[in-house]
Amino acid sequence: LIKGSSDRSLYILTSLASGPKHGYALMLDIEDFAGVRLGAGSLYGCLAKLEAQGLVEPLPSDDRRRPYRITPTGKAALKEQLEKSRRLAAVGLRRIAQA
Amino acid sequence: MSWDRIIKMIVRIYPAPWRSRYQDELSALIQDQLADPDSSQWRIAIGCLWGALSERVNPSVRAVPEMAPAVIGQSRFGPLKSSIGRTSLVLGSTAVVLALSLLVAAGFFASQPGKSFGVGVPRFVGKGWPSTGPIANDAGVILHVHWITSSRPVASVISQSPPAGSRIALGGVVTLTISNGSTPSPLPGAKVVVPDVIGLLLSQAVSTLHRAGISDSFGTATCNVGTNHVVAQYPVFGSSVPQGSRISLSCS
Repeated sequence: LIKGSSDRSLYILTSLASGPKHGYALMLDIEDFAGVRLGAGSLYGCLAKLEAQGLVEPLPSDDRRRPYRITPTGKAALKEQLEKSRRLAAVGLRRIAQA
Repeated sequence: MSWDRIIKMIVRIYPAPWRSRYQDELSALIQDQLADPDSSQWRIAIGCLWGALSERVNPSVRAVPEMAPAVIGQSRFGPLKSSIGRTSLVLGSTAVVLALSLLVAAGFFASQPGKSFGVGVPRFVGKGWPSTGPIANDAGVILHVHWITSSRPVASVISQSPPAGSRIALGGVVTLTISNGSTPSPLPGAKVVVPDVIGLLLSQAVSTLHRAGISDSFGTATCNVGTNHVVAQYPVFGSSVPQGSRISLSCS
């Protein structure tokens, strides 16, 4: 369901899961929790695609720094993707332990 | 040529529909990034260039037919479609060459000695808000402050524009982005009473408002430094406002 550069999309959706943020706040938050510094071009390229998919939406702002929030569809897509990752991690870790 | 101008030129490579929707936000973000001394201007420029070319190849925002009548009927004309594709490729490649040339030229001019003017911008990033006033006074610059929600310590400077080491006219403006800490999530419909912050230092006022659940996540006040006591606030204290509202502060 989450198309495009899925890692970046997951970072953005995960960041927005804690509340609306504008571009720079997103960048700092993602750097905090993932240790990844997204460039402005990458971030907005990904945000535009997520918005086109209806996974995030812009909020009204009288500032150029427009905040975004995750939509209910975005939350569902994020949850589904994270569940898949959890299952994959569990299998991988179990097999490593058994090897 | 400054990095700011170079990146503005690169942003123009994005397709027009994309720019009309995102250019302002992207420009604001780039300014924030350029103000961060940990950021590489090269990386920002190349990232934007890559983003612009990606949008050209695989657009996420499409023009509505009324705005781009030439697009109507495209699906019925395969050769026209491939021609447009080739044209985009050529334009994209030209843009890459042009942008790289500009970057090289900018690097060359930036390295030329004897071009300095005005005053040097001191480093504010990482410092606490109270110490920025004396530094600005010593350097002969004026500060404008933008407070944002951040996980960084309250009242610490997160970024600055222009960056430390660049030169601006005496009395020129340096914009600081300062953390007001993390804001609690607003409860739908919840109201709070505005506290009295008149007479407080701006940093204390922002912290007080923040604790009351008033300042939102996207900036609260703009003030000149050196004169950082709050003399007026709107809405006035005692008002009942929705949680997350913005409060406008004025300094003496």
